[in-house]
Amino acid sequence: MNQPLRVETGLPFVVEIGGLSCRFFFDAGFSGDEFVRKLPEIWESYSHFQKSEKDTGTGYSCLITLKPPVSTGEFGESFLSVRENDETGSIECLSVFRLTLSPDHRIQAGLELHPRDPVTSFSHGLRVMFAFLGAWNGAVLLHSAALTHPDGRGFIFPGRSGSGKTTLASLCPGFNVVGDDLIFVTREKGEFQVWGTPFNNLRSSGEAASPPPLSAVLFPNHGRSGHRVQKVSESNALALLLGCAPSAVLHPSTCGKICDILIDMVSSVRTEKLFFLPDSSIEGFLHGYSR
Amino acid sequence: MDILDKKPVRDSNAMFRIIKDEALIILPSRGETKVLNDVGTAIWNLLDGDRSVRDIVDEVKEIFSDAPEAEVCGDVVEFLRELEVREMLNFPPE
Repeated sequence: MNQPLRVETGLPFVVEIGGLSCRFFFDAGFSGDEFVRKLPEIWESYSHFQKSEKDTGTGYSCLITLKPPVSTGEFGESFLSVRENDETGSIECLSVFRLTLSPDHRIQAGLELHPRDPVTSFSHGLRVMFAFLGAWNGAVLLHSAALTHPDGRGFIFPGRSGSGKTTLASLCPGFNVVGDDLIFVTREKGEFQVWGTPFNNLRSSGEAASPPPLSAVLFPNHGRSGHRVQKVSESNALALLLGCAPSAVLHPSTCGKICDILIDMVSSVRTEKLFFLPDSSIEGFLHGYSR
Repeated sequence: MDILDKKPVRDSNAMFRIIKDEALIILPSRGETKVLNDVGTAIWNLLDGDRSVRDIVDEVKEIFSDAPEAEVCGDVVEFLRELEVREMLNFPPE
């Protein structure tokens, strides 16, 4: 019987996954920037989830608070998290994320997890959920590393797997590592801020007192001789960024929201390709990267 | 029907944004994007379903008057065919 486990949100709800208890707390009715402000709390809970899984195999816990989406057009739709099966090459559904509106107007988020790999399924589902919830709340989830320059400026390095995100982050010990796999970028009063997520390969340097302001978008590429940057046109930068925005860009209306945020970003923040060699001199290069 | 008489129209699934006179076409359902140069953007802006390919060629010739006429026609048709293959526009049957 390979029926996916069905996870429905209550306040709170508990689901058993392979004998492990997974507790979710979803709340509704928040307004303003509540979702973004709650991010550190979400990360902390998710870290607890990962820690529990590794240490004891029990006691999954994740606290997620939701602000109602701007539009209710998404309700009732299903958002899939998929992956390619390495052995067969086929695409399989890993999880399904669905938002519904209850009769008493509470947001209900449901996750259906893959029964054979519920932990990976949960992790993928959570990423999909974060991508959509972020987009609906003005935050774009990007496949990107993010570093804070010692002078406080935030640099992000959006790229797909193998582009050098983790390498860059590991070669710059003098910078604060905000993240090296998935980050959030938010917009407030015409400026962009960079937020970490729990989805990292390296350990992040920890929560900064405040998210660094975004100063530059550098698309990492493996260079052949020395480090250098190359200007990218705004439309090409937007195309590259959309390629680094997981899941949510596949959904038309959500894609539109993401596009509009990213257009503002590429119009107001320096965007360049970074060609670099994987050695420690890249840190000095970035130190000297001009405003 | 001669392709010059057909009236191409943007595919309903194709989103686009114009940034600094360059169009970025996005197909969310396929996760595909295509950046157009100034000529491509000018053509994209003419794809309203009312203009025929011949009309579009004439307007492009006016905008980019330096280009040889035969070359413009060939380039426009080739460009439209590429967008059709990538499911970013359609040639509706008359």
